[in-house]
Amino acid sequence: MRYKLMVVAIFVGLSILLAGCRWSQETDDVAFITAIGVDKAEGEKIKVTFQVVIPRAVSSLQGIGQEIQGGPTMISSIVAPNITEARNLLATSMSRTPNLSHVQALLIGEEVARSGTGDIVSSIMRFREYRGGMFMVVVRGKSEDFLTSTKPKLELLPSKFFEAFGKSSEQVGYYLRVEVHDLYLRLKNPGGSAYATYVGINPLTGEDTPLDTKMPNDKAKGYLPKDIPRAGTENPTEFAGTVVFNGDKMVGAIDTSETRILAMLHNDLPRGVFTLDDPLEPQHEVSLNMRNGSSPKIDVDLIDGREVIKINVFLEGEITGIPSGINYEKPEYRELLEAAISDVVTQEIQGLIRHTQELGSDVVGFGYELRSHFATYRELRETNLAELYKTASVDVKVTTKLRRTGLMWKTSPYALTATSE
Amino acid sequence: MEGLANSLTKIISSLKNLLIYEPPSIPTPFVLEEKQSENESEKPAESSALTESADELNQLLRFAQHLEATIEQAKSAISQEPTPDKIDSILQQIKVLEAQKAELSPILLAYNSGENTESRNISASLEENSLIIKKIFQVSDNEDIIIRDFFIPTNPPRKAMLVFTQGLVDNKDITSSILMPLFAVKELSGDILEFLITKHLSSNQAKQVKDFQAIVKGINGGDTALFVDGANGAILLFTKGFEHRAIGRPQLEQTIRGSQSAFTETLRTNITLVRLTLRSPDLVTKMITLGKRSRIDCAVMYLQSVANPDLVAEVKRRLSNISTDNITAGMLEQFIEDHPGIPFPQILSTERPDRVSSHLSEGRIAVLVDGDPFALVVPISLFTLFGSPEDFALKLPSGTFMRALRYLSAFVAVILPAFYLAITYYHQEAVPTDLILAIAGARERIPFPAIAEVLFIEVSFEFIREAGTRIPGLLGQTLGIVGGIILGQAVVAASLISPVTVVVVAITAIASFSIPDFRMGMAVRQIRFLFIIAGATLGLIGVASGLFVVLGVLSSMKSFGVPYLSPIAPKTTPGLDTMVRGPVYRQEQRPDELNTQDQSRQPPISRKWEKQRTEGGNVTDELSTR
Amino acid sequence: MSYQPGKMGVAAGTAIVFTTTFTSFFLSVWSVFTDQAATAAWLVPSINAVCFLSLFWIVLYVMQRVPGDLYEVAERLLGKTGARLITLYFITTFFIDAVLTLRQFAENTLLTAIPSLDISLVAGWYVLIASFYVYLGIEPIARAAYIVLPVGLTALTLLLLGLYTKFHLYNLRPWLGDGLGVLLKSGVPSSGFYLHTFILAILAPAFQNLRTIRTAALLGIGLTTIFRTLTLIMYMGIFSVEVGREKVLPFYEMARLIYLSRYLQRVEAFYIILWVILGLATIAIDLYMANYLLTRLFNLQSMRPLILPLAIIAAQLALIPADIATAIELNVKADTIYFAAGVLVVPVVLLMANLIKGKRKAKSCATN
Repeated sequence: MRYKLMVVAIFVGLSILLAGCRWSQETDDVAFITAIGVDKAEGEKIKVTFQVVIPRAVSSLQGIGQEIQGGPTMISSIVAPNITEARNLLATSMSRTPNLSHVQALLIGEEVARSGTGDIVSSIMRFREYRGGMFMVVVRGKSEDFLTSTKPKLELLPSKFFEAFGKSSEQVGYYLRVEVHDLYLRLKNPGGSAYATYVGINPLTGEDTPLDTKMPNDKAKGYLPKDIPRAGTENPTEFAGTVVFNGDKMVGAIDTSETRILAMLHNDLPRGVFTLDDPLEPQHEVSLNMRNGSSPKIDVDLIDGREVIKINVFLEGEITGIPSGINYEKPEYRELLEAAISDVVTQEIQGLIRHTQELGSDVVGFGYELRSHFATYRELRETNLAELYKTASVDVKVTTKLRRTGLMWKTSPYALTATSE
Repeated sequence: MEGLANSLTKIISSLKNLLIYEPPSIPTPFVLEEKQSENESEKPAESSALTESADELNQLLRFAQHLEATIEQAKSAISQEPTPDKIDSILQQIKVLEAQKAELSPILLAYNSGENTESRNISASLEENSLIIKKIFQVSDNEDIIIRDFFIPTNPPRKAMLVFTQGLVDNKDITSSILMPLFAVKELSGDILEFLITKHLSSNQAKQVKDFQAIVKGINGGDTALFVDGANGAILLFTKGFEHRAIGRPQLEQTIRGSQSAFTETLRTNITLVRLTLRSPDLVTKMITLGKRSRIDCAVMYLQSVANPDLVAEVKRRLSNISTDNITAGMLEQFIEDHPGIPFPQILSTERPDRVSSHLSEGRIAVLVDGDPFALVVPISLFTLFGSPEDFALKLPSGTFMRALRYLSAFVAVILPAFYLAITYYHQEAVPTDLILAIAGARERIPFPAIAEVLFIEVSFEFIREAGTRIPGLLGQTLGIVGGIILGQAVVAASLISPVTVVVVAITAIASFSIPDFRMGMAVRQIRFLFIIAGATLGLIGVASGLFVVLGVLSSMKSFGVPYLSPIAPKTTPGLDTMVRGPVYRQEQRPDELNTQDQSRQPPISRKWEKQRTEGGNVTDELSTR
Repeated sequence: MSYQPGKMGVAAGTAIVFTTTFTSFFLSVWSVFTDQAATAAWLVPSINAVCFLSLFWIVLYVMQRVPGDLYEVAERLLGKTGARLITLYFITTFFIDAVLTLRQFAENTLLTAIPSLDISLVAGWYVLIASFYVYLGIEPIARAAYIVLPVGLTALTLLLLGLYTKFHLYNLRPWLGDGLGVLLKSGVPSSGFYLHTFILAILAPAFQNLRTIRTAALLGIGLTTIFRTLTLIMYMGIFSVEVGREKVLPFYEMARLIYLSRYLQRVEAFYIILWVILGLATIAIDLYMANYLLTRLFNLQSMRPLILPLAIIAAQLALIPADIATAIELNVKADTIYFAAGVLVVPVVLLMANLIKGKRKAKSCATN
């Protein structure tokens, strides 16, 4: 009797195992999509561009890993009413099932961003194959062009390219790594406004087209993608600046230096090199490597229905270059330098806030700090924090301390030169 | 005419011989036929009623003949002048016959002949005894048993007989301690056997026995039996002296530090080795005979003051209640364990005496079987199987590190291929993009599905392993290495198997070899195949369900009343010996689950010298500030 | 009786309590809390624990006066009918919990692991393994749960620590959510989630004494509450209310967000192992208790013939809710109404009966 029972149990178990086996997918039955781009097409449709990676290109087996013509990826653009339909249509052109669990970046063309990204993002958050950790990027131009021209020479695969881009943002601050998850949170929760990374294709001509909102004393210019003066053989794509949203519609962009300030206010700037006029010899420039000393203290208050913001930033710095040869390591000179950089940063913060108030987008997230002023959540939900931000008054205070001076602790002046007629 | 006919016949027959092929006459090949008889009766013909009565009558007849001969002698002696010698011899014969008479009452006779030959009592007549011995040992066919008849030189001489097995006895011993003293006996008085044992026989162990069962056991073991005419019993003398293997190094459980002697096949030597390491008067050995035909001795050893008496009684009960023909230690394990169907071993088998003695002092029981160099230790838990004999010699960090490594290797050996298959089949999102692309790229040209690859390589490794154990000596080891390397390399180069699979399976195989216990390793290997199937069909769900089921099976097992996963599962006081190997001087309690009589084995402070003051000299005593 | 529960100690008791109360946390319960109590949802487990423990103490107090396990206590105090009613109630609670957990875990599997599998197969597989464990008895279940416990807790702690960078304290403000009233309205009925701590009282003969039961209950509920609170704090801090109440699988989504470096990411697949094991353990415990109480109720000789039919019935019932939203709603309704009723009613009734009986005895003694 016991054996009969065991046999029955084994058969039942075996039938379930075999049923599960049906849904297994070999690694050579799936095609990994590593990036998705969304552009506007005529009518109500969108043009979806898929970037699929070819595993043969990364294979270690001999005789297989030779250069595949056209690079290790293939690009396919499909016009469809939405992304899901586009994916269905993609499967008609490939011999393998598309697999979306390794999508590294979601690129949205500027047109689509300006008309509203809500439906795209929400369908992504629902389907289980997409992950919230995808890089969220708005392309200045068309995302199809962006994907076709991304040919990184340093990386073997563009997927690693996108994944690794997040790392280098920490070192400079000229662009931020934004994930779809963060965007979605900001869309739904009352508080701040959403933002995304701004990318573009550089014409690689070396032309210099900075924005003209410039801070005095800041020698670095603010750029948006496509404008950076660059030439050479490397990748024409570049990540620079941040796109700001109001709700789910893009309303404008902030450039690289403003992005750096944004990162600083988010306590997310491990390294950022500022270049400013030398206080004592304005024709030379001093470069300083700044980072957040501690988290910026942001106090937001609601006084008479008006939002009052007090920002207190504490920076630490390291001197990385003194071309003028002045001994800024001495305390009194150092204080000059500290005052100068604090001044520059203060003005940049005020500039950022002004710019975002014009655009009506609270990217820094002051609305979040306002939450504790409400007694219940319902009140919070019914208050329009974005409107409040537009008329907020801001008070900024920046303190800098220069801690390190690089390899030299005392700069000696240059030797005397001969007088020239 | 006849000559012509003759020659014609000759010609024809020679032609026939030339032309016709006659097969050589070979005898028909031997075929083991079914037994003709239908009935399954085991009783040999001797116990049928007719043969019984024939035996009785024969015995009576022999007695009658002896009686008649004695009467004749007495008659002739009385008619002539009797010499004192003759009178003595006749008197002796009468005494012998008297002694034998007691056995010849009809009831006893019927009882004796009805019984199995072996369970009969020893008769007083040497002739009867000799006949019985010849029947029991099949002496007509069996040339190993030697029967040495001789006369004890009393006045008148007494017949006596020595029975022993050639090869099992030490010949010098028989000569010097049995025959020589016996040939110097001048007179016999009182109880013959008692007299000989206490006054003449110089063998160091001598025992009187009354029935043939003891005789048979003794002779089969290497003792010598001494029968004397007229004595109502026999003497078993210890003369064991067979050839055996010397104490050698342990083959399977080698250590770097620690003793290098291992058990041999002789039971007495093994018991000795254990006693040498645990010289306590409390160490008790009890012998139990196993097997109906093999009659192997097994010794049960335990510390009387420590081991739980219920446990001891249970072990003895199980051992004495096995009935089978032939038994060795490996088979004994399966006979007495609680769950013989589950591959996990519930009895520890070791060939090192120091390991046995350390387990005995924790309160466990050891069973040693004659003829097997492995001792069985009961009861154990899963974690005992993961201890190597080196553990006692290592310090705290190394001990813990080695333990952790072993547990990790056991886990890896079970799970790794199943994990790999689950992830490549169902959970491609579970690994970073680079890794999955590397795996996918490596598998582009492979014609087999992943599960076929894994099974193929696993089975090949099992072939190599099995082949390596069959080939002796150095060649076997090189075969393993060469086979593995060449097989792996060639199969990858031919694009039959992806390199990732080879790596995964190779790591698994090596991990499974680092499990100290051999049977545990085999259990792990079997479980691994089940996990591979579960992982390849249901992904990580299958792996998790498999883990859960194995956990359940392990938690429900008991080894001689002790749950298999103590001290973790029923949470008993841990003794710093399961996961983390504590320092030796802090192992104060015996394992809680054994419920021993005496729980503590070390006082809280074992290193007493630390608290003492050093004496002598002007050493500033920092201990005084503690 | 061949289905004696055997002997268990504090460790096994803690494991049982923790498993049955915490496993619902792998399902959609958090989203419901977040929906009801807004930003103060993280206080709900503590309220649950306080409510429940105070009522459970009453039961233990009564059991101190009256010997035996819960069935015998009820029999002595309320008569045979009362005891039978209570046992019937508990059988239904265990069965409902088993069925709903089975359904939700099967949905969970489909959503996270193998999307295209048929749900009846998954439910059948889970129930097959759970019934294997029921066949083995409560001791192996408790021991297996106890072994998995530290591993699971460590994994949870690592999860919480790994998400530290995404945590923002401002998401938890305003502190009191929608007000204390809403909080209590959400917190008090949901102490029904802790109903199955009563297993300790039902299986009382297996534990050495009431002190063991008390320690096990405290430890188990304490652990559950601490971990529930911590995970809810983390969840609210990362997702806040609006996004938090949408999720069907909060735990899975949280695990998905872990990104510590290029190689320490995508760990949610390994958490599948954890919740599959804990889910199977919960279903096994529930089915075992249902079986055990049925045999107790009808005074049957053995539990074994009942295992398979109950398992099949559970699997069939699990497939009845039409979709996952209905299943979640059913679960919440069952826990907050039906189970909460048991949590409130049973101890109070027993206490009343004890007091009345005590008075009656005093009266009868006094009149003598």
